[in-house]
Amino acid sequence: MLARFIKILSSWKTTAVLVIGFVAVYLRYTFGEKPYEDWLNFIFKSLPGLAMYIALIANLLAMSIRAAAAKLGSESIVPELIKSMDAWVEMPLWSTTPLEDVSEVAKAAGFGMEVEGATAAWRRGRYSFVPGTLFRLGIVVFMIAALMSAHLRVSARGILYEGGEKELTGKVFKLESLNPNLPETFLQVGEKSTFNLKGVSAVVSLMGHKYTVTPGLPKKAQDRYLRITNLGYTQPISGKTGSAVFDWDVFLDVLPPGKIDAKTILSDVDSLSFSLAPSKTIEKGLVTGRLYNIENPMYSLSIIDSATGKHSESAIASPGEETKVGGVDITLGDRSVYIQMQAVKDPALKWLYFGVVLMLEGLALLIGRFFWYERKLYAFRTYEAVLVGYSEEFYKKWGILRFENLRESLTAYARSRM
Amino acid sequence: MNQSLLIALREALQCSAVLLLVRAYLIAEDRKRDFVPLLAGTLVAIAVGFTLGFTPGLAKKLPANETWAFMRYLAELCTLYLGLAFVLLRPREPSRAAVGAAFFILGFSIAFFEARAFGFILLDTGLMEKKMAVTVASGLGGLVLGLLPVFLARKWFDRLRIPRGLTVATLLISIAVLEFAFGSLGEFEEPAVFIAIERGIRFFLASAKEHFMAAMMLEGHTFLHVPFKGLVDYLFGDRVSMAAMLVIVTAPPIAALVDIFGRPSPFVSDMDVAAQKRLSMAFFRRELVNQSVPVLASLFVIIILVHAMNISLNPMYEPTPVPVRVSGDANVIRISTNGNAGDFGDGLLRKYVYFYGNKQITFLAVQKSDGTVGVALDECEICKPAEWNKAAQGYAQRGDHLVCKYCMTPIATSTVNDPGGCNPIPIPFWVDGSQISIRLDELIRVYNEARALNKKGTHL
Repeated sequence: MLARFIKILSSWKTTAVLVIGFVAVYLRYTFGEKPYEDWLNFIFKSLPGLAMYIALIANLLAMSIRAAAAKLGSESIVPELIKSMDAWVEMPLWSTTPLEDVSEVAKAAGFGMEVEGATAAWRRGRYSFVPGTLFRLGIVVFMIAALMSAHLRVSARGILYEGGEKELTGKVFKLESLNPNLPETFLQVGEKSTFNLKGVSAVVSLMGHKYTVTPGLPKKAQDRYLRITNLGYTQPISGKTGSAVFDWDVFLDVLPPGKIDAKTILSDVDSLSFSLAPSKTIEKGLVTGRLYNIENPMYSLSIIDSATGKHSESAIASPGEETKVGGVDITLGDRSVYIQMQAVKDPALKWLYFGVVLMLEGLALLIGRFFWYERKLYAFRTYEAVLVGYSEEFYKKWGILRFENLRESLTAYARSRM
Repeated sequence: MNQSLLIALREALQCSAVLLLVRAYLIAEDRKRDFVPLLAGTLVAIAVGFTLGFTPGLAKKLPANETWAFMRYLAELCTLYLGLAFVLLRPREPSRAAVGAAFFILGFSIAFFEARAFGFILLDTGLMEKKMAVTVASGLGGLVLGLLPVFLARKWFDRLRIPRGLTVATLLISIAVLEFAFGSLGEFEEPAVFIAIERGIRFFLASAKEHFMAAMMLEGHTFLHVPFKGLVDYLFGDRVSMAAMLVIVTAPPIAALVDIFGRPSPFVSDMDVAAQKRLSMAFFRRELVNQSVPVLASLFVIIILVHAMNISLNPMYEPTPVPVRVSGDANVIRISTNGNAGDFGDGLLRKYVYFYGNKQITFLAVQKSDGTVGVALDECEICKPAEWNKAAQGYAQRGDHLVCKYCMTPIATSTVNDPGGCNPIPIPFWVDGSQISIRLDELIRVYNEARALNKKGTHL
């Protein structure tokens, strides 16, 4: 009963059924607005989904263990085993040392058989299970980690500026220093943005320890993972509209050049729209180039009417300048740079990475499976005959052909010895 | 009236083709009796489907046409993959009743979706033309006419000595591929199943990428450098979705082919009689050929359909040449980059023709991705289509490339103005504000030089 259960659990047919089940559920959700999100919710948050998911993990694990055990374990060579191989032959005894003869003929045909008691064996590709098992193991690790992540992850994002502190996921982070690596100027040719920023880094302190955070791979800080997810200008802005005065630091998301950010500066005033204005426009034939000063940006400012969504006439101003736009007096202070940082508390994140690495390694090794497969030639001596059998994991057709050639050689050899 | 008749005739003929294919299999397998449940399934499907589509008011209560199309795609894919299941699992012969039921369901799936769509169209046409009786009569007439071959050709079919080429697996694969090829009623303008699969996979991969990157804490950003973004974009991108679609639709026929050709050859060295050896090998080879022909044909049809789909998704754009002449004052042709022919900023190919005596000089202009313009003759230094194939001369546009219509070589638009190879022959020009200017004598010189070239025909 247990053996049957294990056989079913580790069968590729079970994998196929479960995968078809997941596909069917996804197709069902394609009638909705957000099929992928609904599908993930089904998998991670519903009982049938969880059951199917865990069954698939168990199936892949059992399959890997079974494959490894079958290949690593030594097979007891018995007549039943030989008769279950791809091709086999039973030859009446022709000499007192038939197995040695079989071994000699097999060696001449490229199979270096070793004789041991009443059996002789040749086996290659024993470790060919490694790529598949590694790949499956990667999937299993990733799946378990994804399940844990879906239930245990706590994530938060917040804006940090130099010297500023922010509480994210229950911990207080302070931005000690920031290297935005902004270029002094940027020339944009054509409409598609080519603005690309490398080398951004920030030093963040948490409970006295300092960590360098980048937009690249997440940085572990105690039990949190940190990563820069955005970068922009911190712009002090003050002024007055009618009798109301305002004085704020606004965090502008206006990079790359061309992007527009709108901020409400007073609750009863329509939004103020910011975008970077080119300091120079160069036209050469059909080519239009816009040169932006990134170090000391020039903003194009306009008031957006909340009722109609229309922009007022725009005004251009740089940090440290005063201007008037849509009836509002505005003074811009000196700009600085802020970062948006993501902090994640997730015990499974490193396992997600580990799973992906295993998967990729397994996938890369799987290419070698075209040439790396199990082949075995067994012989068994009974009182009246010798049984010889051959099996190949793949390319069975040619394997059988090879065995038939060997059989012919064996028959000829046996006839010559009789 | 004619339209209803023709639609019905076309759909019924397609249905007849599939039924006759199954009949060929049944005759070869000596199980003609199973044709009865198959035919019954088809006729029931026609009756039920037609009733569902044709009954006024029922359409609103039933799923929308998109849902029906989705179910049709699913039924076709299920048929294809049932074929694969037969290849992999080799199930034993089920009971007589189960076989009958299976053939009934197969017959039903062959005709049901088309019958419903046809009923829907017939009702729609009848109501619009206000000639319901005539429309229905012509539609049903077409249906009967189209199904006639099944009944008339039956006897003729039975006398044919059809080789035993089809297995259950290859039969199912062939039926599915025929269904793919026939599609549904084109009048609904539903995209072909391959397009639907590719779009579905693309959407799935795009969503999966977003969630995967979020899970790995590596969400993309417009200007901040994110590691492995290129790799992830590729792995979850359009090319992979296209490849996945190709794998999905070709896996069953390829598995069937591997199964057929993977069988070991008969072992004949033990046979004493040479004739017996030859007979055995000949029988084996004949069976290989007979069994592989339907699968290879299916694979071929799939490749053609995928190619057609690729073309329909990336159609070639070729504008009609706009006649130009020199401006009054100078010997210069001026072309506005934002005139009546539209703004060059759209990146579309533009063609112009200058009438030079009794000759026509066709040239092209296109704005490249870097904002500069390329101007060249609408021909290359090598390709020379024959007189009967002159329509293949010149270039069309597909995506970011120009394509030589003769040798189908894609030319990156950014290389227009570079001479040599299959690139269009450059014409000297200059840009003056929003105008492209070409000296007429230069244009004629380049044209005459192109005439003097000893073109090879093609570089392929």
